[in-house]
Amino acid sequence: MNLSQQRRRHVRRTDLVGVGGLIMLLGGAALFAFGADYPSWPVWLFAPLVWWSGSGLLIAWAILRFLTSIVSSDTDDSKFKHWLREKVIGIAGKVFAEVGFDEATLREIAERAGIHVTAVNEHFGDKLGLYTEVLKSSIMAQQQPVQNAASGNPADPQSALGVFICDWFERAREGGRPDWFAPIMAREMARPTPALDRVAEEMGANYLRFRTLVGQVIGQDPNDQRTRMCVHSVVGQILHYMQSRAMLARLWPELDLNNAQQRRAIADHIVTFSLAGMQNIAVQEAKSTAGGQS
Amino acid sequence: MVMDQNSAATRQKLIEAAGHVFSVRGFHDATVREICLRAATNVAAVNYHFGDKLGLYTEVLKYSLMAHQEPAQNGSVALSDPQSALRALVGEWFERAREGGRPNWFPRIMAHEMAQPTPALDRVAEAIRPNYLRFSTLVGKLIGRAPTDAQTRMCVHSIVGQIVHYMQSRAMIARLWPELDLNDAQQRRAIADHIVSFSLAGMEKLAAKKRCAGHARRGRTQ
Repeated sequence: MNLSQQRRRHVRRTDLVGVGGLIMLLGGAALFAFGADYPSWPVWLFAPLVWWSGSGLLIAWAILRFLTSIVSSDTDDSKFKHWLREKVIGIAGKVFAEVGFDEATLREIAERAGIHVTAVNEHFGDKLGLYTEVLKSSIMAQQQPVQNAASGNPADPQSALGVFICDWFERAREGGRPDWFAPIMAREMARPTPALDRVAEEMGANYLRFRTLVGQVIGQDPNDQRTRMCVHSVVGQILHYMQSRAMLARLWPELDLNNAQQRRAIADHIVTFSLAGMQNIAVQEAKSTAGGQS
Repeated sequence: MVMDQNSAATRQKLIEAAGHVFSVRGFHDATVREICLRAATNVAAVNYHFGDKLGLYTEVLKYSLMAHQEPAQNGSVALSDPQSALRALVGEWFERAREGGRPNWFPRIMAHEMAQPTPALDRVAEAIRPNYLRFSTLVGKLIGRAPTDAQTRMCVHSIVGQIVHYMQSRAMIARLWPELDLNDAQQRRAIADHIVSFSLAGMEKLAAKKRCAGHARRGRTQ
């Protein structure tokens, strides 16, 4: 779905109006030109017919348009807006990654996207608004697996966690916009902007979901310190491969994250490693409570 | 002697000033003139100590990265007892996670570097490599594999990832987990302990898996 395709669909609709209008115009013109001078029966019969069919077509179109707008609430237009929004976010992500929040300008982003600055303003408000969306999309693109895992089978949190880790690792590379995720995160962590607060707030729910899942695995409350430490042990292992990408490539040149097999191996490793770590905590906890009771 | 001390002091002053200027401007936009102005030295001092801007930048990166590399060097001492060596190493590394443990311009420089890697990153990677190998050897010993084995490397990065996460994503963690205070020695200790026991259990599992696989193979050949 590209810009011209989307535009063409809009044009086809306006064409329909044009055709109706043209027929109306023809009928009207015929009536005006010949009606008075030659009051012969073909004109009197033909011209009003054309006029009525033209206006009928127009009215039909208007009714159809009205009905579809009720039914689908103007999907085409919102699809187009969504597409444009994604495009601007993609370009803004690159710009913010290159020069940072302070140095980036909306004008440059709009120019690269091939649209006017006011369109960017209209969609995102100001630079901070746009930046918040960029930060959200780079972090939240990786949040989907949490939701999937949390909605999985609660009777088997271990395998839910395993699926979640593999899923995230895969997504972080593909959908997580890897080329600008690392620089934007590094900049944001070094000098947080107000956008981070907003994103953190939105992430709160997923963070709780993940803590609940890990808490189930180790048999602890989601707010327990041990649960949180386990959560960050898992998250740290995954993010490391993205945030320290440049250094990893130099220290471990054989590593190729574009290779599905290697990616799979690393995700599997993180799962085994983490589950063993958590199991150990659960066992220790059981031991200490048993000791306390006896 | 006095001369040496002076020159070491100048060098240190230049690194500190450069760290600040690079963190604000990035490598490409920073100028030697501004750095020297800040360090109150003349421009020739940079050429004398570091060669050029890239040389100075490399030293800045090394200085800030190597600050947390020291523990890895200490860790090599006690290879006979890899478990407690790991414990000591992670604990020491974590000590540096507190505020002020590192120059505050460090994360910003790393951000610039990750956004647009300069040739300095290659040189820094070379400087880190010996420590990386030492750490890999230690981990390899724990799981009974070669230091360059893929399994060993994955374990290394599982441990490193857990530690670095608390530093790299500090701002986010502070928002999601406000009770965490890395300036509190007890909490730092608790997290370091957690990472060690978590990782040891993980590695024990991998080592056991390898043993099982070994037994199975031997069983089949016999």
